[in-house]
Amino acid sequence: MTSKEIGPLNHRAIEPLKEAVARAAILTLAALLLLGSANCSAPGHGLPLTVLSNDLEPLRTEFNQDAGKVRLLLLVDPT
Amino acid sequence: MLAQIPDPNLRAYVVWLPVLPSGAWESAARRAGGRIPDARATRYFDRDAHLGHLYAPILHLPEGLPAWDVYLVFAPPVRWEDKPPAPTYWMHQLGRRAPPELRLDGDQIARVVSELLTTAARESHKTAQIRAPLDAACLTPPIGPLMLPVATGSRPA
Repeated sequence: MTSKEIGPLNHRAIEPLKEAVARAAILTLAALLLLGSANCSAPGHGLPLTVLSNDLEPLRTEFNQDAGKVRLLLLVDPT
Repeated sequence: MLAQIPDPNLRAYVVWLPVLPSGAWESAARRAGGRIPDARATRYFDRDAHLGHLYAPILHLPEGLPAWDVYLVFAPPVRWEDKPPAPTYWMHQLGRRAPPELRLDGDQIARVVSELLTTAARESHKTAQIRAPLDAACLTPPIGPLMLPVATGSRPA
């Protein structure tokens, strides 16, 4: 078997492999984006919105860290 | 109000919580958060309206009504211990379900916040004045008998 015979065969074998790698990369990116949107601090209009846990963290910690300042707490329905 | 008061000693926490039966609260909160671009404000989403239920008895709201559309002001020394702290002052948009004298008035709440900021600045200035001589005293090395020049040798005749 000469190298001329092997060349085209390898090329044909590599193409699907490339496609599979590209597909895997796209899937990984999509998964990362999904994970990011499920995270507590996903951006909305460029500004972070943190989902509070049942113990109201991290609001409580931030409130106490800001002791010494005047603080406003607004509880509002977004709709 | 944040735009009216540019003081860096003011912080705001905006907590969006689901009360009205509209659904899609979180996405609405994200959109609404974009309308408060102030760097002194932090945005939260309380998906179970937990904070609203905790504040209802603190604000003496009618039973079953969560605290929402309420604007709470806290003086500088207030800390959040086991339970959320009672506000120094507050206003609402709850109509007849809360005290009419506390119905939201932007000018009034801004006035209260400004007064608290002025008082805090005055207190901080006073503390600095009291501390300054103390700090200076700390920087000056103590003078004791050991630090006095020791006379050595015999006096010249």
